[in-house]
Amino acid sequence: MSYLQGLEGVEGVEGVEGVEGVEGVEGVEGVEGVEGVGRYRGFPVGALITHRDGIVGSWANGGTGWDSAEIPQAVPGELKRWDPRIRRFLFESELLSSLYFAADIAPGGASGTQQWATLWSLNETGGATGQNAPAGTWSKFVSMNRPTHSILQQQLNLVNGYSDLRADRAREIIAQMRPQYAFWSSVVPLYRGRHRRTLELIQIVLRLAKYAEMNFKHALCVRRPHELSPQIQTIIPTPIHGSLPSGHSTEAHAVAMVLGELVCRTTTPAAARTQLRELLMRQAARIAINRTVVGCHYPVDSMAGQLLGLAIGRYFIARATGSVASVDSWTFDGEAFPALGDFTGSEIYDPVNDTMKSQPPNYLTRTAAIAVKKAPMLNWLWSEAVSEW
Amino acid sequence: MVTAPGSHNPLSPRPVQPYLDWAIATKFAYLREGDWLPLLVEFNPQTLRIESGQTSLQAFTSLKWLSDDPRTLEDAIRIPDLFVEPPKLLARAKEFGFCVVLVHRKQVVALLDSPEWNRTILRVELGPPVTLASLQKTLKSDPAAPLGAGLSAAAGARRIVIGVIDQGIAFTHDRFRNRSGSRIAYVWQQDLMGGGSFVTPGIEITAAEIDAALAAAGGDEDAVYRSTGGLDYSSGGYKALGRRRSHGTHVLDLAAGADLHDDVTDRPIIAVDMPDEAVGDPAGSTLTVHAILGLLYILHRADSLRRPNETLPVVVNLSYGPHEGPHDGTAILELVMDFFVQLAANSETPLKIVLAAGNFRQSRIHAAFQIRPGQTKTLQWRLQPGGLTASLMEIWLADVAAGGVSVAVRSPLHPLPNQSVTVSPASPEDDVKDAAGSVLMEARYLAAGGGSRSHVVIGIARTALDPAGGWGQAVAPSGVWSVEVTNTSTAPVSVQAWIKRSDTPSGHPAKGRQSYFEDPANYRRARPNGRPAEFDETSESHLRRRETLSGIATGERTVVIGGYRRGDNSADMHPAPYSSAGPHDNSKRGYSAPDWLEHSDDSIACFGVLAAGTRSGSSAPMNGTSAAAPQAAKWIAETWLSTGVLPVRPNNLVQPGANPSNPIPAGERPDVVGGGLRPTPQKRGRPS
Repeated sequence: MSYLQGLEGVEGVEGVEGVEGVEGVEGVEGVEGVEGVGRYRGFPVGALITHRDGIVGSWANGGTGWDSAEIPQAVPGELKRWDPRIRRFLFESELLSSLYFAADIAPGGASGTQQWATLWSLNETGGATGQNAPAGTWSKFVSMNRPTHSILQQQLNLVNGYSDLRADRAREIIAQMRPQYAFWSSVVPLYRGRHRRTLELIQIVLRLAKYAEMNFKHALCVRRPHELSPQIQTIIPTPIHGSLPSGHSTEAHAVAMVLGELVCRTTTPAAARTQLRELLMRQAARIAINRTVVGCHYPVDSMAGQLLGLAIGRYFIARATGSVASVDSWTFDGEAFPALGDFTGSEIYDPVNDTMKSQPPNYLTRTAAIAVKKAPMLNWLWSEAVSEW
Repeated sequence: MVTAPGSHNPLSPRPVQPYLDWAIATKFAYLREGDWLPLLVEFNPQTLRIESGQTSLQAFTSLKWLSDDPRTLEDAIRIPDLFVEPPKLLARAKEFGFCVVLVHRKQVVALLDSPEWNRTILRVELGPPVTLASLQKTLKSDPAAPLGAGLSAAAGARRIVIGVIDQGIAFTHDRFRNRSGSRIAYVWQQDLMGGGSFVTPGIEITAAEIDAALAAAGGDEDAVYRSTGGLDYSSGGYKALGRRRSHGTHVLDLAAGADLHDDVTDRPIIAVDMPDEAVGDPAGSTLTVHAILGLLYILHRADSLRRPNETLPVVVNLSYGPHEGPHDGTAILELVMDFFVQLAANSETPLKIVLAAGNFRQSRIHAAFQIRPGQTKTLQWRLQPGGLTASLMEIWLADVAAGGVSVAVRSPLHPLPNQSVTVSPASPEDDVKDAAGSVLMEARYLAAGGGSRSHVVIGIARTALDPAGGWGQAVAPSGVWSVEVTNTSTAPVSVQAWIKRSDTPSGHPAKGRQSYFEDPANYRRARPNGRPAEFDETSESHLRRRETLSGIATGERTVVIGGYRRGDNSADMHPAPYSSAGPHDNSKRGYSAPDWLEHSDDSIACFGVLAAGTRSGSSAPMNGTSAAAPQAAKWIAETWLSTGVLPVRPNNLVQPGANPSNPIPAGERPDVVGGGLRPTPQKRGRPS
């Protein structure tokens, strides 16, 4: 308050006089004076001060009309009391506390040895509580190895080939620079007003995908196509982070996987379920390929992103529903990717059976299934979202 | 024989081959990569040793006229199998004086210098170069193999083959399928790499193969095109099938498309997909070579489809055309098309060929004038800056008396030295080269010979450096060039000039910029009320909107279709401003103009006609006489199917209404609309 007194009498500073004015008539100008800051701009702080003075009466401490009994502390807790911005921290920390990222560091920075980057998953055994420490077993979830430099140089031929589609795809590309809600909503009838929890859920999927993809991008530090040739000349700015895996591909495939599972009922006929999955996956693939058309990704980036996104999506569903006890773990060997290999979206995943292909290409290896447990808070969000469909 | 038996004009002992000469003089700088040059030639059968029982074509393709041991020529010259084993119709023709030959780039100069070539060959047109790796036998599938499931029509049912020669044909589209399978009996992708050792480029795909590929890909059309090579992202360049819409798919839908569930089986499709370079890279070469091969292919395959005792007509649509040509029916492709239509007329496979009239009425690419003896007419020819393709012009002379005509071409920098060329009958070749020996400009005077009238061909280098061409290129100044035509004979001369097409078709990487005539004094581009002038009307300019028909659309027996814009009622129907107009100089042809007009624009606000995009479920608008022509092909097919008679012309044609706000000068109406407009109901969505 001291600064306000210091400005006493300075005209034009809104309502500053008002602090003084509480005592006297001049105070009327000051009523607007004390404003909130930031997102609370316009919050009538000064008004509430004076208003309380007017009506509070003498302090009685006599209880409430509404239920103000102690809130039970349970799992998952009173999530509906909070709002999406607060819950976001809870869901993210719940998910991330079971994920650890680490990468091989070559001794002395020597090249020639394979350097793997791995997202590890913790299967918590005992329940961690306020008294008991978390414990469990860590397993490899997704491991990646980056393509060799000469593979990337060959991939540039494809980036050049796809540039022919730039005029055709420009409008989609620009629209897809932001999270692709407009596109997901064109396949699945999503409404901001009707599907609040679904949209909250999708945002958590996107956040989880980002945590995963940014760590891989950092560890693998793959140069972007326009760093390998001045002729690429992307048509929108290339993001500053590493090229592989593609963020758009990761996120689009993760959302496609989750959305396809979320909106279908147990009674949905198989043919309708399959068609929806196919459309969502074709959409995700097109979003990914558009990034190659831009010139900011190689096809191998989209492939790695598809793998990561589908794995993340599957993991998310498992943790949010608790309906499966384990998910597959995967190894993506960029060095084994064919130099002129392209990405069409149909190489590794089978939307008809909703599984990865039984004989995936040689750069993709399915490793041991890892156990996952239901995440209680996320499960609350999932149940809320399901009821919106 | 359909052309005057050839003998060279003594003034011009060499064949008429201006674009081949231009290509050689410019060291192939304007053509794409490829070792082999496809040439469409007219030859003189009287110079061949024709053995008994042989046709002139057989004598020609044996190459014995070139060497006693033709096997020694394999590295230099080859003949596509479609001419060596031609369709039945052609095999029966005793005198057919045209052929496609493939000549190796490295041997072409020696060949052109040989007396045998100069004696036998009358005219040459040049197609885009091809590589040896892409040469393979065209007709690879077994004609006895069972047809695809979608093609089985009931025995005795009336059928017609619809052939489309175009570019970018999405052959798995569901508009070309019925519930049993593909309705495309054969598609020839002219430019795809394939294995093999024969001499015609490309690969052939049958309906059964389309069905199998689509089934194997689970209905994923992208996957089919990737597997056939039609969509190869590892190489640069234009990818018609990667785009949302393509010319060929749109045209094929208008000619032969049908809803999958209608189970159409009475109009099998034969499609020829020309290479992008044939149509997307003008002013270097011409599409006529690929078009002729396509025509022969369609006739061949129609034979395969025909059942015993069946009359199976074929209607072929070609929605392409050049600006230039003699416009009197004597262009090589015109003569060939007329020949085939006539030959097929009373056969088991009667043939109709439908051509787009051209979109050049407003393009300012045509000038026509008369000059008295001693008089000079100056044409202003504007070359745009930044054009990466050459600018070329053809000046055609009606019967020229002795002494002829001289043509001087002057660059905007004239009178600086080395900025002009002059040709005449006495001095028929002139050029200017830069210090490095690259051609800046050249002109050739070609005296009448073979089936061709006297004409002058002018070539000017590109007006900007082509980034793909290195630094040693000649670059010509952009701006207004002047072409001075002087009558040095003793009688008046009628002259017609056409500028070759050199702009970039939409969707392709920007490369060419179209040059055009200017006549600020007399050519009005807008009417006093500000609207664009669509007709020559009172213009006294030599620059014409009339006589702009496509250079292959003035033959005797083809159907030429222009475009009109629909309106709310018939009074609002109006010829499209771009639709090319007659007259032409072929007195044998019925109409002096397009035969009639089909709709090519839905309204002033809604451009084009809606038809299939490149993927099932998609649609796209496209306008132009390219969209008009296939609708006539469809009408011809439907008339045959319902009446058993191949129609000549619709009898419900209407003359465009006299709309006072948009009048058509009575004197010009027949040149623009020909027989009239065929009204089609105003529909939303795809035309039925």
